[in-house]
Amino acid sequence: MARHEKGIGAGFHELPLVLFTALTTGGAGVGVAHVGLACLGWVPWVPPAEVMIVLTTLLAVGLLFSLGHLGRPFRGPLALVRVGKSALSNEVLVVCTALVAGLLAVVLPSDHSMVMPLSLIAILSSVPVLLALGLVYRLPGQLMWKGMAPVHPLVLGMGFGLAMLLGTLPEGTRARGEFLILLVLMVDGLLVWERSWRISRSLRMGAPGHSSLMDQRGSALVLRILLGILLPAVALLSGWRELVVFSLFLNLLFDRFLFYGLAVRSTTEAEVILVEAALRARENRA
Amino acid sequence: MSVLARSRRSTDPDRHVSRAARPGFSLDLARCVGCGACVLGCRIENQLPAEVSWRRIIQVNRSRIGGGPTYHLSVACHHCENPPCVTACPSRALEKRPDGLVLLAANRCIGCRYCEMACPFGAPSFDPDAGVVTKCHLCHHRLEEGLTPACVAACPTGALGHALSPDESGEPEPGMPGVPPLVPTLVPASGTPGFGDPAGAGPGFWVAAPGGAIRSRWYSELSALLGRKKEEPHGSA
Repeated sequence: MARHEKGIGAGFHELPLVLFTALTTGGAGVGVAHVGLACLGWVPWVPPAEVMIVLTTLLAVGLLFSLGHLGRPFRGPLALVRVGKSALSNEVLVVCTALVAGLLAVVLPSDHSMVMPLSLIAILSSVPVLLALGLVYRLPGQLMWKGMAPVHPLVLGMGFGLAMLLGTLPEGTRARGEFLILLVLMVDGLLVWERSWRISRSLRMGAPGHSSLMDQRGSALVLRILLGILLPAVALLSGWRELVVFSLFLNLLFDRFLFYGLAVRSTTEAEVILVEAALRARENRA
Repeated sequence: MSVLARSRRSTDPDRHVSRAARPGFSLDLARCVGCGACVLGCRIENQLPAEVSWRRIIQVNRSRIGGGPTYHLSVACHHCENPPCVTACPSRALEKRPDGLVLLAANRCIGCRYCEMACPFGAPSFDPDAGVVTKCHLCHHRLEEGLTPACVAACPTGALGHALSPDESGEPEPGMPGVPPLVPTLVPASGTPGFGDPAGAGPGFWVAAPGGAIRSRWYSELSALLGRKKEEPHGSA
């Protein structure tokens, strides 16, 4: 595997990104879930202060972790200079918008006239936050981050957000809320299946960034299904709501870890391996 | 498709890139012995730390499978026509200059490593001590003095070359019918077994067609095996 070393990099330097994307997905997920429930008419459009505190805290802590990934964190604001052109600039802009609006809505007195519009801006901008989190890695040379990968943060965030808001739903709609979570878990399961299919396909064309983790991908994906789909589903059906929230939060972290850990990209080294495999196949046929 | 046609294709008018100028490297596969002098020359000229390398050598068919030849690809930044790293960079640290060079302004780099993820050729390299990404700048300081890049100057066999478009006239040398040219013909590396351009970046990397009928046949067979279109040879070294 030495020839694969020119991958994403030696060591797991993406750990701050795992924390950033998991926490941001969780925070924005609460916002998106609230928007979804408000669209169904189950909750009022203006979110309660508790929702805003959870959303803002997760976004703020996530953004702080993202600075840990930068080689020059004090130059972080420069990431905004290519908004509209770079997917990463777009991501930073929407996350900052949701965070600043949420933060102001939390710190202003509850009777302030700006609290309602700021809260609405924060929860509505959660939708582009989750989309931007997915789209930022849709890069031409990255094989694993294509297909359905860009919509995965939206699904994960929605699941976690719905679980967080389940307790705030009126009694009559709670069962339907639980059904929605089960539906989201099923979609998540389909996306994990698509990912495992894509891994085997990508490995024929590219090089993994983390070969040792790639070797353990079977166990990792089984663990992902157990932890992120089966455990919350069982906890939900048995009425253990805290466990649903906890397992879905762990699932966010584990999923983002696998997202970076099982990345496969096109490299010249991978091309050479492809050539040699074709030669071997020809030789075997002969 | 000819090299010149490739250089004219999809050039972003907003970048005001000269249509003819295509900076990059050429490599004579039959001459490169994989000695690593280019890697060392680059490292010394640019005073690179141990963990950073702008150029690397990749050996193709090391175990001589199928009795075919072994060759080396000495690769660095290809100063692509449509560089994915420039598109990805959020801080405008990476820019494609009007002369076609893809340069990195270290004082604008935030060290996010997004360009590393975007480049399908593994060209940008993160310097953990400086906290920024670094990459080959084609020794533009040497070019301005009329010198060749350090890697090219260090190559003892003359395999590595610094190339603008191999033939800016766009027409191949006529030569004598039936007589192979003495100077090897350059073709875009994207048609060479072992070097792909999956992202459509248009790398500025040309290779000399392999010498000898056996090698030529082997390359053609391999290209067909991989389902690659053979690039039309164009221009001369």
